[in-house]
Amino acid sequence: MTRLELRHDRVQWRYAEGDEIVALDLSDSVYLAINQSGGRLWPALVEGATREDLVATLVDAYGISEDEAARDVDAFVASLDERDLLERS
Amino acid sequence: MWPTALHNHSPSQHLLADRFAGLFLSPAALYTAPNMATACSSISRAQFSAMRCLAIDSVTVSVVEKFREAGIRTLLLKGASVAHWLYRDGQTRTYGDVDLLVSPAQFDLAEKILQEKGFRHLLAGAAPEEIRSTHVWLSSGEERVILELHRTFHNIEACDEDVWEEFSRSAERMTIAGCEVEMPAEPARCLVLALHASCHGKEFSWPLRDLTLAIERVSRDIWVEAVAMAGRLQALPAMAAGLRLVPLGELLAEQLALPTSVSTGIVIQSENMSRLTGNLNLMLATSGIRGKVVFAFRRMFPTPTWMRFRYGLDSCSRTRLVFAYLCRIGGLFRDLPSSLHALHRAQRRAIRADP
Repeated sequence: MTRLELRHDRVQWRYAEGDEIVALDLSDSVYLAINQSGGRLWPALVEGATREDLVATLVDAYGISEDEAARDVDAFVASLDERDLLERS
Repeated sequence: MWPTALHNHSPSQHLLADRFAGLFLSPAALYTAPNMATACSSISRAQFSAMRCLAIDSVTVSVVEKFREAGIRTLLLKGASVAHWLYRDGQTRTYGDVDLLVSPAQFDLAEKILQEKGFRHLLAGAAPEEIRSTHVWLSSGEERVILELHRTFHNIEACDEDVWEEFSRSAERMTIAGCEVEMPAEPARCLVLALHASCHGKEFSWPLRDLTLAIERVSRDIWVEAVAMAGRLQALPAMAAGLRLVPLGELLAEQLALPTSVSTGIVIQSENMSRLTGNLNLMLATSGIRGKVVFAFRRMFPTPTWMRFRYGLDSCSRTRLVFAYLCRIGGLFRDLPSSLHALHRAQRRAIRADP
């Protein structure tokens, strides 16, 4: 199963408020704002998590359907991939 | 990219609304899909603070790495080291500048490197007594980060070399912005928090919050070591005064049988008496009539560099500088009676505290 992990050499981050996160993409010094639900996924991505783990995180936190959680996880991961912030193992 | 505007709502307004709504609505009703977007100019205060801390971390790392290349060892004081040490489980601790301690033997070299990196010494040209032992530098980048370069710490009477020896012994490592930096070991960090509190008194809340958290979380054995270190660095009365500013610190000070005697100077700081009161105390401590007169003159008419730094004046505005001097003199005379009264109170408190 593929694990997704944030590239620690590419991004620094801090909690802003609640689960909101502000991240700094070190490649172009752009600040990124991650919303609450994205902030819920963030710690798992810091440690490394599978897509299924991420889906389960959203389902457990918000009680949404697996289908909805899976769609949203895929979209979030895609936005991270656009910036090349994830590595896969 | 550095945002210039903050979103026009209170820091926790949307969070409070979420929590209130959460009482009545299911989590699913509050859910919005995970989203990552470029932080634009319209951001919340909390986001801005987080961005600021990231910028400060970035500057810290670049300076520490440059120092390291030159063979300069650096210890990170306060700021990120306190956030990393004491604030967890969703608690946030923001910071506004970088505090670095270097060995006095390497201080000049460290300043040379900062200059080469484009940092500006904010008190260049000020008198030595105006600069004291902490040199304040401003980074050249867009983020404009303040970096305070220390050779000692507030209210420590021991020489700078002894401070470096104690603080650098058994230093610990932490990671910020992907880089390993050193910070003093826990007993020294506890001492720093108590001294920081003694320096500001109740003027600011975060030194007191840091101190309270440290007392709650750090073992008593570590505090005993911190007290021993304070003794060696001739900082014990200041440490005790700092601890006594918070309720848990009062208890700890009693348990550790810390001295109650304290100098007038420390009473003035820990009770947030005015700067003029502090200066009057220092003037009285200066020996000889001539010494006192020179001291008073230099305090009434500091260097233009100091005036510009203290009052945030534009370096080109001579008219504003002259006006600032006039206001300063007027203010000193206006506040003199109350400051003399405050000094007398501080002296009596110092005497009462001395068994």
